Amino acid sequence: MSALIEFKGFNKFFGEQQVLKDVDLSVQTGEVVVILGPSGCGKSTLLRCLNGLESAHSGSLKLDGRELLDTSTDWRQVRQQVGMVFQSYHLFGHMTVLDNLLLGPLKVQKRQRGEAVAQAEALLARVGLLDKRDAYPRQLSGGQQQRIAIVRSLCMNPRVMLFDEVTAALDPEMVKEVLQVIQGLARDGMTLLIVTHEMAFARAVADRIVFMDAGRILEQRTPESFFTNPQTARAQQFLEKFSYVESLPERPQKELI
Amino acid sequence: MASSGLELLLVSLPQLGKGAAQTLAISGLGILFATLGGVLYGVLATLGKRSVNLALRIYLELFRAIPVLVWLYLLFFGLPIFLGLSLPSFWCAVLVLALWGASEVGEVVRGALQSLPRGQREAGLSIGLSGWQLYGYVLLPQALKRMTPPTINVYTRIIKTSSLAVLIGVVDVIKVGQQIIERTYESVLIYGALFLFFFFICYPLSVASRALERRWTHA
Repeated sequence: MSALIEFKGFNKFFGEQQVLKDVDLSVQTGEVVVILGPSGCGKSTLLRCLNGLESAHSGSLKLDGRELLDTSTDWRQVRQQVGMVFQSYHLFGHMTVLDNLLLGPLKVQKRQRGEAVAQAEALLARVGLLDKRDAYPRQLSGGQQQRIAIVRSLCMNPRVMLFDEVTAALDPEMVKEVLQVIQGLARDGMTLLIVTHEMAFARAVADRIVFMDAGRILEQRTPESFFTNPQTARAQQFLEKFSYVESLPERPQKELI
Repeated sequence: MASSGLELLLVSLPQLGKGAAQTLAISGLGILFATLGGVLYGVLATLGKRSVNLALRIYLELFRAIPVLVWLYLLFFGLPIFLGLSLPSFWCAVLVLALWGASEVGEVVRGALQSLPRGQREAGLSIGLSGWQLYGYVLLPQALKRMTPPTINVYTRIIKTSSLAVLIGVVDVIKVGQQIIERTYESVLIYGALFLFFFFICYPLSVASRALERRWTHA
């Protein structure tokens, strides 16, 4: 079976600085891949290359067997198949929730209004926000906005969804409602590429963990084996930092305060 | 005096009206084309193409550095000499006001577009919008709020600057006024009327601009 997404020897520069180095990564249809790594390691850039928000410099990137780095690639076509959700939601502030959801289906995909509305409302109901269909984004909480942003991407019927630190800007209370939506998608067999710092979530949802540092992929393994037995020193270090809080003594000693 | 002054105004009204129509036509067309050109300028300036930005920069600086009056003379007297192309003074005035206004409105539009979060552009692109759709449905509607008040201020400046068209022979409301004064020596009365004319066209615009600004900063 050929992979849905396939990076091969993929390189990306910002000016002089190489931010992605010889990345090899393939994702099968229905697979949930979580990319972990320290800030600035290139994981967000990797996602952004996949829908053409950043352009690559060398190597190969295939979606469903088609090379995307050809100059003839129609990114508008690709982006309809690759949904992306951002850290700060980026809903269109001058439109109601429903109009946010319908813009792509009606204007880009030229679908029938009735059918697009039915899909949008069904998805809104699924994330528990059908009653907000006529609200404006500024009237919604961060968690609600992010769930709407996920629905906005889903309305395009993409083949894969990219999540770029989608809970990083949220209050802790709202993280759960967003993660539940993503977990639901994973359960439905949707192909997902997720960049996150929520370790417990990564462990629960991922079929495979990809660990990156300084533009390279250092490890690719199942979550169980990655979290219990990371192979590289860098990954061990990284995981230790995240377990720091959990391993604090119940009552912190004075010098810790 | 009072009654004769009033009489003079009444008698002059048709003549002043014709001049006023010229002033309004030049200003109106200038504003229309300045707006269209300004939006185009703003969109081009935010595409991130270096060569385009350089061209716009040169255009902007030319209209900032060179007085409108000089542009009027340059086009009115220069075009026939250098290109063998002669524009009627009316259209010459419209053209200069439009080009100058477009550079001013364009900078406002550029600023408004650039002040939008970058994520709006990326979110629009990521659902597959084309460049036109991105600007038409996402970016310009959101920039509209930020650009309308300062754009209206540019409009009032275009209206006032239109009076320079007298100098290339357009018979606008000021020229008509001067002609009446030459005949009757009623300068205070006529200039008073001109004062009121410009004031009552520009003041409502200025009020509207401030009202919009107030309403939209709270929304």
